[in-house]
Amino acid sequence: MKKTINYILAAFSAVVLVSSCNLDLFPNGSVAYDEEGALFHDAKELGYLENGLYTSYRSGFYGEYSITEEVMTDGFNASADYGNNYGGVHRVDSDLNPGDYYIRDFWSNRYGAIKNYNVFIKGVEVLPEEYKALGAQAQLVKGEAYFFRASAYLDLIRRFAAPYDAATASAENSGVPLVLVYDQNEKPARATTQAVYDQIKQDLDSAYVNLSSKAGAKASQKITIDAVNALYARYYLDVKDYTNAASKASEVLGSKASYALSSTVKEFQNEYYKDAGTEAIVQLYASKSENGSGTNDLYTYMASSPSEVSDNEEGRYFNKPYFFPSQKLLNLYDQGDLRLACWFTVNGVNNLTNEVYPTFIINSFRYDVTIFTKYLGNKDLTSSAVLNARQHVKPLLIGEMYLIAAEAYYRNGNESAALSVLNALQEKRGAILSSGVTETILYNEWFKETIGEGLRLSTIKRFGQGYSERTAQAVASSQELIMKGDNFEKKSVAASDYHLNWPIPTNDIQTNPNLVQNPGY
Amino acid sequence: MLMKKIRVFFAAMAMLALSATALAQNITVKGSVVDETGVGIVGASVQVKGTTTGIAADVDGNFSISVPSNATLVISSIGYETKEVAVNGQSIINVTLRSDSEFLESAVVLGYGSAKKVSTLVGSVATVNSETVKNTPAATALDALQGQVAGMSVLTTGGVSGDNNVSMTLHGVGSLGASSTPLFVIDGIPSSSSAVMNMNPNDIESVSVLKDASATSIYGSRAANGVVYVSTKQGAYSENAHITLRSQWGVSTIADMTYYNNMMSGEELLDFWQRSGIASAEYLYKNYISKGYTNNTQWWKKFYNTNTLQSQNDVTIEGGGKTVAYLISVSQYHQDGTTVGNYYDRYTLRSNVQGHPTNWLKFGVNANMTIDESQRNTNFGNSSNAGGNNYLYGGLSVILNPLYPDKLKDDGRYEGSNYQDPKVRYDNTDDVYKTYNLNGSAFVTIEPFANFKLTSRVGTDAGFSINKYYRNPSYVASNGSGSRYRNWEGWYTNTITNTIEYSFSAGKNDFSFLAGQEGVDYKYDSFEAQSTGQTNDQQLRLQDGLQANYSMSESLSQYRFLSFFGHVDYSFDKKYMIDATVRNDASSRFGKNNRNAIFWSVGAMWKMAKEPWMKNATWINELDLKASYGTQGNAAIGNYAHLGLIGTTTDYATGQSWVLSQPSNNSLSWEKQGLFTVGVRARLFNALNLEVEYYKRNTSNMLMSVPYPYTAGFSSQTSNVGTLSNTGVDITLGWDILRTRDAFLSLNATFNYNKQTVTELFNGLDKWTVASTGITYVVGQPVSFYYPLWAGVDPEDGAPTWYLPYGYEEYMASVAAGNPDTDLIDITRTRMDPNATTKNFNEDLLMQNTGIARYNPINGGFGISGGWKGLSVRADFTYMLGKYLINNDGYFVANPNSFFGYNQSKDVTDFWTPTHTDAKYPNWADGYNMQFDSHLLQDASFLRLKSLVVSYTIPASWLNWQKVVKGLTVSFTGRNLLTFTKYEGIDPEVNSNLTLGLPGNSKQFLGGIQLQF
Repeated sequence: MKKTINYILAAFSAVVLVSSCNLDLFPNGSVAYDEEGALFHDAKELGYLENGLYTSYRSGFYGEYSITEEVMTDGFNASADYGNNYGGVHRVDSDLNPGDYYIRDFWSNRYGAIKNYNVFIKGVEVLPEEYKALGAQAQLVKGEAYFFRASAYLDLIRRFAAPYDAATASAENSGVPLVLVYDQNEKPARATTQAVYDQIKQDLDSAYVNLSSKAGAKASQKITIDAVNALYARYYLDVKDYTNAASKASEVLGSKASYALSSTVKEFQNEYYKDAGTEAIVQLYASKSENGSGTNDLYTYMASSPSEVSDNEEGRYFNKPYFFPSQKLLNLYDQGDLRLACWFTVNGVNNLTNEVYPTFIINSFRYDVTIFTKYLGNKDLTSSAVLNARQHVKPLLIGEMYLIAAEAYYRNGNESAALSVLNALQEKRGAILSSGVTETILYNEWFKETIGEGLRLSTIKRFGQGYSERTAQAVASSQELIMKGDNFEKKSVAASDYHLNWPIPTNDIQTNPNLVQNPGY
Repeated sequence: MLMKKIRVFFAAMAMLALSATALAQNITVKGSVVDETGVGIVGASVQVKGTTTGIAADVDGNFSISVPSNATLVISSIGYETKEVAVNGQSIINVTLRSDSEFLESAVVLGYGSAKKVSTLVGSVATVNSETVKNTPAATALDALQGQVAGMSVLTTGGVSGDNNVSMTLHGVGSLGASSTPLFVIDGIPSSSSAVMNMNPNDIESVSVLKDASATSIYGSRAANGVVYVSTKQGAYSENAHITLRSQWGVSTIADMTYYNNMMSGEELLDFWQRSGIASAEYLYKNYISKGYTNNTQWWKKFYNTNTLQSQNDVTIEGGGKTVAYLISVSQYHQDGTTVGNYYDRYTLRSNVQGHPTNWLKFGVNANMTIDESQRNTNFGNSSNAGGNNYLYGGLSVILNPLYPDKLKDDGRYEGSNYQDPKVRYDNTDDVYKTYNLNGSAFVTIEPFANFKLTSRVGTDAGFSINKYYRNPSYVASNGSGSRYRNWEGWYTNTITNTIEYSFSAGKNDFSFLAGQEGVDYKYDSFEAQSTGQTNDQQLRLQDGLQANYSMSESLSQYRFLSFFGHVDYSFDKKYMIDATVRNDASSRFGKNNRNAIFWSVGAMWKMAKEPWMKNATWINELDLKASYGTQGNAAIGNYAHLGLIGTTTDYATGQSWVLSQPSNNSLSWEKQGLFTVGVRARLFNALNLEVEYYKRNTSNMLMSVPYPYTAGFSSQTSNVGTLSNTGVDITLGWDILRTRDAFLSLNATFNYNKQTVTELFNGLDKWTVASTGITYVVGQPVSFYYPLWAGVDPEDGAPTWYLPYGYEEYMASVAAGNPDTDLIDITRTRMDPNATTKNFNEDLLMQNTGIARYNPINGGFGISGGWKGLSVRADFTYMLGKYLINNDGYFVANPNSFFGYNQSKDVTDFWTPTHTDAKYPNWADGYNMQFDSHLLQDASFLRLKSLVVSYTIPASWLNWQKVVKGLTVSFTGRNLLTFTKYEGIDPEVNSNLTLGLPGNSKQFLGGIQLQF
């Protein structure tokens, strides 16, 4: 019986043992998020969160985030091999609809990043007293968060709303939803375009104050006051405040950082191949192992699989792009323009790498079509022998400041100032200098200078343009290397075409009853 | 039913062993042997005690035997208690044998307490015994359960060896977000389907499926999908040791070759291209004929293995002394897959020991150790990875161009085509998984006074797995850079259970009580390392790669459950029975405030046949009415879904990056289910078993990944939303058609009809389309396929056409008016109006309800078994009706414009021409591509001969000349020998919305021998 009692006791103690087991389990590799408590506890954690902001920002550039609007417009023709990649956006037909994945991705990328910016901004605002020693550093990072948020909303409003017009900017549902505090259950309606631009201004003002000590530097990995001014310039250009636009752009052009446009093949090589140039106001970090952004690979697609190569050319690498630059774009460049020589591969000759990459596309037959190689790939960012179009992300380049200044001066009636800035750009690029400034000249210069950067849609909309056809390269057309038809090289889009304002993605329309879709969809 | 069959079988065996020689100076005794219900017991043995003299009763239980007048007769029959009767000169002796409940009725372990007889169970339990799963050619015994349990849908997805590919659902899919897999319990310890796969099927005594609330609610939080209880074999006390050796050898091959044989030959392909206008004669001449590419290479044969070796061998030693009983078994299983590179090897060791050293103490240890090794061809899909990595060289190799020559170059590729040879690939790569597993439990029961039992049980399902991968740098696909990968993962689920049980009777009242506690602790831990850039085939270690290309990671995941439960049984006069269960669970998967939940059930049974007024209906042997209602839960979601987390994302400038990675959901809690079951169980004419059950499962607080607008920051979050119901009927039938001294024949069948209805979704929505799946949830409908509806080829011009959905015309009018409104289109109804079709394909605008449910409403099986003397035959069929599957492979094999240059199915030759307007496919010359529409949604209903076993046990007398071998049986076992289906793809038995790149199910022919010592 004594034994029995022992067994009972043993069983009982086992019950007690298990009953007291801890059910508060927490995953390793994560930190608890306490909405009301301290977001960070020391400088190191603050640094990690700052990195999180930069990662969020960097993730939204290149690849589909710029290709979508580039191939939607008139700079590119789909190759016969394009396999319906970007099919809807390229054809600008009924497939460019709220279900489009590329447009959805743009929307979700920006709002996903805005969530991170919002969480950080609130975290600094409610920072408990005991962490106040981190205040100065936190304010600096908060300035970066404001900058990023302004940038994200500017990206959204340019794509999902009609261009700013003071007369209509306050119309209900004309803008995009403004989310300034993270709340998973919020179902925001669209703010007015005016409200969104006002918020951008307010965030830039905050960033300007918090980042005033961060002097600009060429290819800065961090947000500087020059970057804030550059974004100001974009903002003022959009809201038609040309005086301020010109002034902010000029401020960056005159920065002590001495940003300079590449004006020799060697300088182009440094900037556009090695990512070691002088044009970038901000150049985000990249390394072989840290692949934090999209890649503009569809323009080049190096075919590395030897099985696709015919026997006599086995072992070589070929460009096999999904999109060729249109003849319409190529025709805009003067013969001596270094941008033509360096951003395009003509007859297989690439001036950035001094190598020859034949274009190769269909059924083992080789054709030398001019291809767009502004983003051929930085050798330091690939571990294989094949360039893979990966480059450092440069969200703000000095070239755009020339263009904003020229356009702002022009629209303000100061043609001579406009011409002088424009000629400065053209001279550096080896182009023939314009003798006067017209809207068309400015429009074409934007096209030539910012090709591939994801600024095409906002340019077209701001100039009130559409486009008529995407005239293809003769060889591509005659050899059937491109997709042909009314929705391809013969595509025309009117300035009033509703597709120029992207549709709000289906997911959000279905899950948020407060949202109103853009007209046409 | 199954027990009955065995009983008859053994009876037939027993007769063979008896010699019927009569002795002198005897009297003749006549009589009958009947069971408790007065029905004659066929083949009952009537033997003179202490002699070998005896006889077997006839079909009606009658016997006549000449015996010494003072003899004592021993009357026995398998399944009944043995009785001795002194003759004392009587010439008529009628004997009633009481059924031996321990044998006739398998005892079933329902929850945590002692085993109970099936006939006294209020809960609904279906039991499949060892006869069904033994010697199964499949790696997992679960495969053999197909069609055996009414209401249990069992599907084996694909034929990859070593793939834990059997999926089971009981009474439909009950959740749109959490898992629908039943809870697996092995010898009292909650476990998993992979633990069953780690077992030798011959170690299994029975598999019980717990179906209703009375049976499952004691498992509370994880019982919503039913419980599969696996009991392993135990040695018997006071029994001489006996040894069983089984050996089976044979071949494994692809179950159904129709799909492969339907591809075109090279000649047919060239002819088709030209005739259809897809390619010009000049083009074909220039690119193929002039280069000599006019072969007929069946490339897929290089990627598949047909007729591979399979072997399975095992030895079991069992026996017992007065206080200890044991069973030890070892087994080996080898199967070469049907795809190059795929194999599975498994070795198991089981040791089940139990003892009762004193009359108040019992203990036992069951342990199963497994080592297995497997490799799969990753270019083919498997049950967890649709498609595979590079499926042109795998599941889709049927479309490789037959015109290219079968000439292998030195670099492992083929001349002309540059196709990669799979054997060369496997000569240069290795991707082997080795797993070590321990599944076992130990218990101790003390019974300080009668019927009061304290039991403590601990168990574990623990193991670790090692994956090693390499690729030679010299292999052409490596581009000079080798790679190496190693992974280690370990896991355990430790369980402790403590119960107190007490039962007593007071007059006609029987009571039993059970109270207990259970704790479950799970942990998964893994790490991996990888490097690339190795340059020498002899130096493939991790550190031989380039340091810049090193990568490593680790992960860890845990959950815990803590539960308390109680159960009460009451029966009056063994006629009226009720039971009740209550259980409280707490889980680490939910936040503090929502961690606990109470589940309960009540059930009742009326054994009508025991009523006095039923006595006259002698043809009714048993008639039980049952009803129960109760609640169960489902917590099968991620381990940390309720927590708000700041996690790491891509580094920035080599520094760690933090972002809010998961939103918190403090209200996250259990998915709940209310389950009502009513049923009747009857045994009629002592030959016919019938069981009919109606059930209604209502799922509420459903755990779903709820979509949010992207503007929220996270586009989905796991939440408790929505409701779902499953209603259906189970029918089980067993019929002993023939029972004679030498022969038996019986039939059994199961049937289930299940109707699923989505009753409520999230955010007040009445429909939700799950992106890229073809699946839409609509309130009031089952989960259904939504696709553009294929309307065939227009006989006028050979263009493909699709049906317009309701409201399409109104939508187009709104577009014309400049105010497009997609809400005008009603996708929830099906419109197949031949006058409303379009030739312009647009997936978004043409999508509509196909009227086809994702989960098939009808499934079941039937089988026949018979025996004559030592020969026995058993065939089990399984069927699924109303099952549909998106044949994603079909998009590639019947789409000649999209995949020009590749082989195609012969079906595409049925295309439109001006003289052949009634065609299946459009006029290819016009460049039409086949689209993702309802033509790919194919009827995958099937009937399959799941298993066929023919065996012959030689008469014991033939073995009398020696003393070692006591029994010898030879057998033939076949699996998946016949398949009947209209499905056009590789294999209809895939449990998914779509199938892509999977190798089809395999079939086996095994010859076997069983020796008993």
